[in-house]
Amino acid sequence: MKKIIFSLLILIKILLADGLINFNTPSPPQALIPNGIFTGLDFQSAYKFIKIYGTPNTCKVSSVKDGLVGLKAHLIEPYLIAEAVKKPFYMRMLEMKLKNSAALLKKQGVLSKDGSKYVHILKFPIISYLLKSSQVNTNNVLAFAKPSIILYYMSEIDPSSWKDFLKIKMLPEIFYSISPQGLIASLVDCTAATTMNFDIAKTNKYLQNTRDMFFYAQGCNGLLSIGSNNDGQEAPFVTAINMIQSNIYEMSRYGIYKQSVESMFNKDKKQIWCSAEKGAKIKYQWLIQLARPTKGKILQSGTTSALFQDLKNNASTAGDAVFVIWKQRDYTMFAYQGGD
Amino acid sequence: MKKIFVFNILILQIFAYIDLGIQGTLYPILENNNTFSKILKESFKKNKNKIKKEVITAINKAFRYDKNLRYSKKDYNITVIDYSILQTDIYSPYTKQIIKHKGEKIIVPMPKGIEESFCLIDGKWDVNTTKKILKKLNKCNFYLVANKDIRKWAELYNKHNVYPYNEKIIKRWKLDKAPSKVILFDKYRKNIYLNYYKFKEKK
Repeated sequence: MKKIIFSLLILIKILLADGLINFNTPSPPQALIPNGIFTGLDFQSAYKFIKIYGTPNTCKVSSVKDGLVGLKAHLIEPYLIAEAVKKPFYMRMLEMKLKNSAALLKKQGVLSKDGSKYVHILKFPIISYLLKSSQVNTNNVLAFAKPSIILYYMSEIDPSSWKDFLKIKMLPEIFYSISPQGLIASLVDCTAATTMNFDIAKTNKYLQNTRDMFFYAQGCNGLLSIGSNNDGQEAPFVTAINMIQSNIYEMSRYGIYKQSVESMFNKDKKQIWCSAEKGAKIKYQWLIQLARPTKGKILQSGTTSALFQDLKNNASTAGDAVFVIWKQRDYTMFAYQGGD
Repeated sequence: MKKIFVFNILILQIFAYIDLGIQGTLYPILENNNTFSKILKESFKKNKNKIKKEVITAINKAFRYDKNLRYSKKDYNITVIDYSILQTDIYSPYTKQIIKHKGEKIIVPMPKGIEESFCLIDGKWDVNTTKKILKKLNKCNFYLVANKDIRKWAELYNKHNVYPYNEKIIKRWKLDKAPSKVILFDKYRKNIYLNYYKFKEKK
């Protein structure tokens, strides 16, 4: 008997040493802020977007008579952090639960048990924020957004995300997205988006225009009404991406998110190369990347992997996901006047 | 003897080697360019606590929206047709021509027999006046509260259908005074009518 126990102990010791048996509890989920923020960003694709064109451009300045001369350029930066969570008032990017807030939802009938349907969008231009604090001056050479942190959207406290009548009243374009026309538009949009993904940094005016034209279509996610918050057990991230898209549309409608890329919607505005301007939603301007639980690539919106099946082997965030939304910018190097 | 034989074969093999060129596909080795992320990492370490604090204040700000509201002086009703204006041209996917132009009005009908309402309230008022106003407003489907954290407001008045002041909604219906109540209903078959109602509390 003693021999058996002794041999078993030795066997366990060998297995432990080889790492075949692991008694340690799984490591706690890594927070986006403070640790995993840099591992989650796809910088490798982002480098491809930095371009300097040979064409010179002048920007008018009140202090200089003829204006400043510079070269046309293009870049990309992480602008928003959007997350889709199951628990209400739980900030996955911070791994933090907000106190005294769950009671609010009880009577609103907003609580749901399945599907990730609470969406939070935080403006956090990481690069400009950290470069500013490290006192690296990139003002006119690399024109990044103003360094500030603002919570733009929290679906729990936005009535239009829960009241269907409000959503329809606020966004009457919904009717175009859920019609036969919307179906054809989403097919065309999906084809354009996937073609652009092959060489994401390459510009193609025809495909760009196609994407911008059908701003209400959801790409390869299918026929969806803009911003609908229906429970999707099969694809809850599709709902999340849809809500993020609708938020971008609404915010750019009220001039909070600005146009920073030359498009068919701002053909006459040459000022776009000198500062960002208010206007319509430019779909091409925004790119989505999955940051957690797995690091994805920068992709056109509507083509991001958005199914639970893709993430089922990674339970580190309990089915929640964090997306980084990148913003493209056309600007004049050495003469850019700023703008968000 | 054996050693010499093996040595001979080895030498022969070396001379028999012919360069056949590149066989199969070659894949370039991508090395991560970490210079940029290194600068960011260093500055992040320094500002870790500052960022966390700023994010938390940004979250708390979302629950409370400060806005100077004008007060309504008279009780009055306005009934108008509700419409919204298109902000962008809408193109046809078949022909890529504009179907609806920017600036055109769109009337969105409410479903038949459904009535929805919401109210705008200022969180600066005293407890008594707010209670009186809430009584006079009668039932609202939900409340928009300005100048107070909605979590505290909900605890005070035991009303949970509360949302912070929402600029998008206020701009859409051009609400400029508080308290006010908006009722959306279908009056006729085709058009939707909006009942816009404000009043002043008597002192």
